[in-house]
Amino acid sequence: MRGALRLALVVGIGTIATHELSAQTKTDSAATRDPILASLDSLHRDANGLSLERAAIAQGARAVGSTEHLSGDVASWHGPLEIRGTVDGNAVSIGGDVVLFPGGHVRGDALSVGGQVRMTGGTVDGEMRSISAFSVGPIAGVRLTPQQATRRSLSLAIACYLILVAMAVAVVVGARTHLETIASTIRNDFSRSFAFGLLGEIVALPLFVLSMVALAITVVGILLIPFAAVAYALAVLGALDLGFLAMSLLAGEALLRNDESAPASRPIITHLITGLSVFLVLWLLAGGAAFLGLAGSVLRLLAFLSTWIAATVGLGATIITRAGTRTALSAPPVAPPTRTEEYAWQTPTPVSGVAAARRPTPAARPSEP
Amino acid sequence: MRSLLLALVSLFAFGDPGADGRGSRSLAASRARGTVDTLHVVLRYDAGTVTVGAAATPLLYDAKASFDANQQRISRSFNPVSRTLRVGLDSSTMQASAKRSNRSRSAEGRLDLGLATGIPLDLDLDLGTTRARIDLSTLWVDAIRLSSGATEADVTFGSANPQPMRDLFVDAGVGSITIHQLGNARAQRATIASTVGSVDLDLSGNWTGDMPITLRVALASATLRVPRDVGIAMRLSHRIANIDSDGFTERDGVMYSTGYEQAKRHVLIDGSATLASVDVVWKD
Repeated sequence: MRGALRLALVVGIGTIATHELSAQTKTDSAATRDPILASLDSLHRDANGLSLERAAIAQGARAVGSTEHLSGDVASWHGPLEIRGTVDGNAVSIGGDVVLFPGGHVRGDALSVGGQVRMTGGTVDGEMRSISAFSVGPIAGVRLTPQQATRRSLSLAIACYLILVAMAVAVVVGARTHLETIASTIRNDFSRSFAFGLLGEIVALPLFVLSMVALAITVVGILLIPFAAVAYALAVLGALDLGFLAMSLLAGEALLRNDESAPASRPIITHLITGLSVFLVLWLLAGGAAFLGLAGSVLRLLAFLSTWIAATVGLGATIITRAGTRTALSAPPVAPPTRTEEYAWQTPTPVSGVAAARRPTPAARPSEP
Repeated sequence: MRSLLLALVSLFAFGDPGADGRGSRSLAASRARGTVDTLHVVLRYDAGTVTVGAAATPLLYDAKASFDANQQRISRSFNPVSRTLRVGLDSSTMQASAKRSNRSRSAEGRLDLGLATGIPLDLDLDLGTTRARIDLSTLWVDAIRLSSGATEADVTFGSANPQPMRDLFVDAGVGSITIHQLGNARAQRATIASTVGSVDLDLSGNWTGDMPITLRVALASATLRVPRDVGIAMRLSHRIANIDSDGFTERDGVMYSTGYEQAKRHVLIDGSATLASVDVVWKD
């Protein structure tokens, strides 16, 4: 099993690295476009830019003489734009300053990208605007590229894993018996735990709303609403976490039981981390396969379902055992009969004699004839 | 276990492209006043720091902004027909997830907006989770509507408005708003609201006659700092509210401050207070 885990991780990382390389190749090919056209396209798409014809732009420095009167736009690319005459349209410099000298007049906007609009005596009827660079890329959180989505998924999975490991350590130190009770309940009564967990998830929100309404009705209780809301959220999250850790413990036990090379007795934290690692591997594979289309979606669905089932069963067991403080009611623990009681009837009769004894027999169940 | 740790380290080594600081942008936009005789300003800004003040004399407006282009877009537009300046976050390119992200990184952006003096301004300011310093001294504010989510705002009327303000509406939301020298606004109608947050109103300034204020506070606190020569008449419907009424006398459901009849200037407060506290602090 450890070999399988290792193989899955290596495959996942290899797939991601390959994808990174292909994305870099695409970026390089995009840079081979005409840079002036690319700049004009960015200028058009920038919220603070404007539209400009290719014919209006000149490479390097450009000057409009005091006797010149241009009817359209004027622009320079990677050089200053100096204006002493009149421009009926916009004056733009990409990668340089726009400088208006005395007598210079721009009837439209004066815009500099990567430079400044400097007024030394001229006038601009429109807006004087300087932007340090184009802002045309995707905004984080709006449209993620596949590699960004992959990175985000993997980071999220690892962050959750580390948080859960920290919680697992805390639970083992402070509430080990509670955790073991919950795990025992899951082991003995899986379906009932799942049913209770499902019920708990369904009623959690209505119960919260009802509690808040009840507090609000009492008027004085309104002051308690913020505290009650936080306490309720913490209780639900705590129950979910405890239950999920119990499920992880069982998963870890199941995995390590089959590992014959392992020592017979391991600390409980090893079982917990192993179980959590199983879920981590699932989510790493699902996150790393974000660009695999349908297969990626199936992997994500499987990861989600397995995690949800684990959390639901764990929550149910937590509810049944009142956070591990009680044993399950449906399966009360029965002390196994001791060897002495089982064979007491076979004890040889002393010479002095004893009262007759009967061999203990189990009581007949009502359903049995 | 060793394999697992190696894998984690390898994954983190890929890094985050958005964390390299390449998204930092700045914008400076200004326009000559020309023949524009009024200005309507619509400011939408929900992350970072905002300042509003007076622009240099020949300018209609002067906006300077810095922002992270990976997280937000700041833009501006001016409609010369309606004389409306719109500035702030460009919501058309943002979706809910990005806006949430912005709110969680409220310290990143900054916007400094200067406005023309000598012309009536109609200000519509919608601030989300920001730190705002709004200095309206020397400006002619005809109307102002200031709404905030969880903003810490400081508004100053450093000098008397050339003409009485038609409408003043401030909603502090869950934030805190402090208004200095509110009397200089010479507001014909002022509405101050706060839910969970706090408002601190300094009613000093150069004003005469009556100043009507509608106060609506819920789960919040309001502090009124009133000059000694001002008389207060307060009619607040309150429920489980603590209203500082020391030195007030009640007649027909209205609480009057001592010497109300003799005062030449009056503040007329009405509205509601629910689970709130309203304090009156006299200042010399």
